[in-house]
Amino acid sequence: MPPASTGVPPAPLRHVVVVGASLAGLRSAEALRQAGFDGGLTIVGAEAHAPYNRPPLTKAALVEGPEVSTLALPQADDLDATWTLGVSATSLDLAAREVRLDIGASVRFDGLVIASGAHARRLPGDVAAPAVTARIHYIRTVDDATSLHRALAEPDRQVLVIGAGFLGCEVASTAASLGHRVTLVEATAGPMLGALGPELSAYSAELHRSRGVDLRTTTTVESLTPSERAGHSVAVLSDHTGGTRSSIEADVVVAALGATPNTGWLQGSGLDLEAGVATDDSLTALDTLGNPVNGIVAVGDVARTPQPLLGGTASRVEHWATAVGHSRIAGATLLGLKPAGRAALPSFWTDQHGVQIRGVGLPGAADTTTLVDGTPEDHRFVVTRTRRGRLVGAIAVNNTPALFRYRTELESASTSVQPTR
Amino acid sequence: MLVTVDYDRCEGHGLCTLAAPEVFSFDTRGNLQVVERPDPGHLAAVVESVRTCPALAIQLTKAPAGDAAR
Repeated sequence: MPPASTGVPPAPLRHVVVVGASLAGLRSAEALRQAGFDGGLTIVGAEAHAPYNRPPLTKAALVEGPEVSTLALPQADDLDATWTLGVSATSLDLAAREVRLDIGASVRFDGLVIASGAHARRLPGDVAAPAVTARIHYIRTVDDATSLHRALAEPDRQVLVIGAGFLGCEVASTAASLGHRVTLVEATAGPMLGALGPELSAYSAELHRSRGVDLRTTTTVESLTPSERAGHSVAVLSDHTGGTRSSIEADVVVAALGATPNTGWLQGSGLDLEAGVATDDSLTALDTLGNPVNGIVAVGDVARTPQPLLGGTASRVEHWATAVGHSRIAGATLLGLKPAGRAALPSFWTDQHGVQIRGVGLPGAADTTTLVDGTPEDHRFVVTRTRRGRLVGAIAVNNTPALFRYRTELESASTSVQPTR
Repeated sequence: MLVTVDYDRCEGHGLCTLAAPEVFSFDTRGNLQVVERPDPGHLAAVVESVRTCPALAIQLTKAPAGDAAR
């Protein structure tokens, strides 16, 4: 059960402001309307584009060139929202119930949906020389993807991808499929290690190498400087296992170092912003004393929410399906309703080198992997991931339907455990 | 209503089978099956499946005139 909010009963909900015009923001706005909200709705988005789908940005859109029209997220016809796009929120005043915008104006709200997402973590300044920073590609927005698409449209490039999480692996796979020479550098012992565990990581490493990707694990980029050849960069790589150093000259450098929640505009607001906007089970934002703040919810990548699968420990889950799942709860919470159904089970996917990897739950939080179906040699198998003997996730490779029984099992597991907060 | 799946876009996530199990299902070979003209009572579930499809592969349109009797 969500804890009761403190303070006065919520004011009537006349106007809701949604900060963030991507998946989580759009779906939350729709959920409000679906639940019967007929007041004013303002959606503020930092990007100039209407809401679009980001997952293809590392895959098909990178090959074909991103088209905002084909990436556009389907929208409810009757949303009746005021869109303020290309505008960033700069601060939140809880007492005045006001969001300030970078165009100098403010919007008042009765209800606020914080859906400001996350941004690509930048390569540190002591690694990347100022002369190369503008040349580093990041992947988050359609504009990022357009720029990388252009760079990869040239033939036979030497591509350096820094970071072998989901996005880095997908970019490496796409670049290799385009015939480029790809070096993929990862600081930990394997690709997607934290998210999938050592066994799946080893499978992925093997897959990358079999497709010609030069994967360097336990390796970091020590420096990135301009090469003598115009437009090129030289990376000095340091292998922490072998204690060796090497250098590589790259035409294209992509940094995929994970994402940082966009909480800068909330600094000083009084909300708990440690590693994302902290919320309770109802997605109501918490203040720095841990008290829920009525009428303010956080959704999607920016929200640090209690995870039933982890006994209620709060964490951010940067998955597409999580953003959609949050929206329904957030809409109900703002309207003072009890959300129908339960929190969506985390689920995620990644496509690399023609292999479909699908996961449910939080397999990254596990300590043990068990192969339950198929074999890695056949590129069709399923593993379960357990933590202290309890199922916390399952991953299927080229066998999505096999995942369903584990999804059901995980759903009952995540409702039978009471959060420990 | 007419429900169609763009199989060029479908990535087999199966979230539609959770949102609208009466309309979407996997056959034994793992292929997605769709009931193209479901009972109108499933409209809300189909709308949900359109919104939760990560591949944006599901289209919901009004059935052509004359279909109402089905």
